[in-house]
Amino acid sequence: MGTFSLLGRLFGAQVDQAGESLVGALVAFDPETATQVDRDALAEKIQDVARKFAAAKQDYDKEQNDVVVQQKQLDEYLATLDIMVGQLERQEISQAAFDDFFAGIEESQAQLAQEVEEAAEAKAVKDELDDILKILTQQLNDFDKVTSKALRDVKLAESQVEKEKLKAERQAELSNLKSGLGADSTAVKKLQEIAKKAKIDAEAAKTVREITAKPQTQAEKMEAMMAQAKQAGAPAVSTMSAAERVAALKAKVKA
Amino acid sequence: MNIFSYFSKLFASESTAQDAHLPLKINFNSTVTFEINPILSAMTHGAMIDVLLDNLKVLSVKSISSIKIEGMDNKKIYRFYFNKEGDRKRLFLQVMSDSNNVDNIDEILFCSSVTEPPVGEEDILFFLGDNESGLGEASYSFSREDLYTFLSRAEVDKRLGDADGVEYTRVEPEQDFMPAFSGEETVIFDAYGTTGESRRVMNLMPHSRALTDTLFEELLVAFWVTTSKNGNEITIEDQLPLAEYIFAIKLERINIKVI
Repeated sequence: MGTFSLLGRLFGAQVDQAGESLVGALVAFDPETATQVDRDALAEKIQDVARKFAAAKQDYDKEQNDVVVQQKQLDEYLATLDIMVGQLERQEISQAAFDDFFAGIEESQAQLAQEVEEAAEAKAVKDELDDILKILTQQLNDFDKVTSKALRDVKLAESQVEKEKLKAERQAELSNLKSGLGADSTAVKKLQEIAKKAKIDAEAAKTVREITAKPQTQAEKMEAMMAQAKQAGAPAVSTMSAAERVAALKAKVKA
Repeated sequence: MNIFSYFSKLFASESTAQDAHLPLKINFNSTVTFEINPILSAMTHGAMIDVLLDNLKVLSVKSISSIKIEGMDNKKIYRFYFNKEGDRKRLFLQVMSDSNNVDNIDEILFCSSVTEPPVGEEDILFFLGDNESGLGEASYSFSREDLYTFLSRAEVDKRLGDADGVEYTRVEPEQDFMPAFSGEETVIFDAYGTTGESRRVMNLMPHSRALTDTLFEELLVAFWVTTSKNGNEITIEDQLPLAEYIFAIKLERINIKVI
């Protein structure tokens, strides 16, 4: 999965409700662990080839050593043969011994040719394994380069997601603060609502009280008014002159 | 691990083959064939090794031994004897390898030897390298007369030519004296180690002589005694020390076929 599609999914996850599980999956998916598994597999393969290479090198060294040894011995045999020719002429050695030795040289020559061939084959195998080893080692280096970049990208993406989240949270906080500046604070609104409801209730109660109160006759009303006036020690309003009313008022103030 | 646990096996009466995992994969069932050319080549150049070349084509192992040299724990010497036990002349292959890896071979020597008891106390002191003289000196020589006791006159004359004798040089010949090696040789006569011998190697000293610029003959002089046989200790009085002259040619693995 490319970094950008991963990013897309990450951001998608924020809006999408189903994205929740994706974010969860991302948290569970550790790219370092996942790439380490791949790297280990590659490293193991390198180890395997390196072992084969070491064995092939040992094989080649042995074959090459055989060639050197065989060549050295063959040279010695040829030098010996010169002496033996003289010994045979002087009849110091038997023809059979000479023939045996001669046959031995021929056998050694044949063996040497074979050893040379085997050494060449061993070298080819060794060189090929060496090439494979070099390629695999290069692959591991490339892998490390690519994965470290990919890991950096993923980290970058993750931090971007974090940043976006923070940004979104800040935005939400800011808009909350802004709405708090207006008149319609929830708390105030609630209080107003309570107050309004209380006012209605009070009005209603007043109305109910008035309706349920006992109605007074006109005469009773007059009687009550007269009693109130008498109680105040003042004449009834309608029977007093203006001067009398002023004097009465002045007397009330003084008192 | 010592695979020649001959004594312990003997007393535990276990029957485990003791000749497995030996250098060159040789055991008591092996038939060993040697290329005659390196040996004949050395003999033609005057080597004193004594062997009938026709016999080299089919050799069977009569006894096997391992030698532990004191102070040399990382190496072990193995010997495959082709002669009958008790023969004065011995024929064997000596292989030195890593103690813990018999496939890592340092040296293969094809050896023929002659044993003889020391004559008198002077001889014993000589082979013991007593007082920094005798075995352990910078060189070891044989006169023509000495050689006549090992080989037929005709063979000696052919190999010696006009020379009076042969001289073999020890390693680091600039040192006047060098104490010889000592150790323990454990021999088994059968695959299960039910019969065998323990030998105390009082002295063992390698020397060498150039036959050509590139070809060398080795001489190992040994002084040893059998200390026990088939698990029975031999009392000191009955122990017979032997001097042994081992003439050897270095072989390569490719010169040896083991079937």
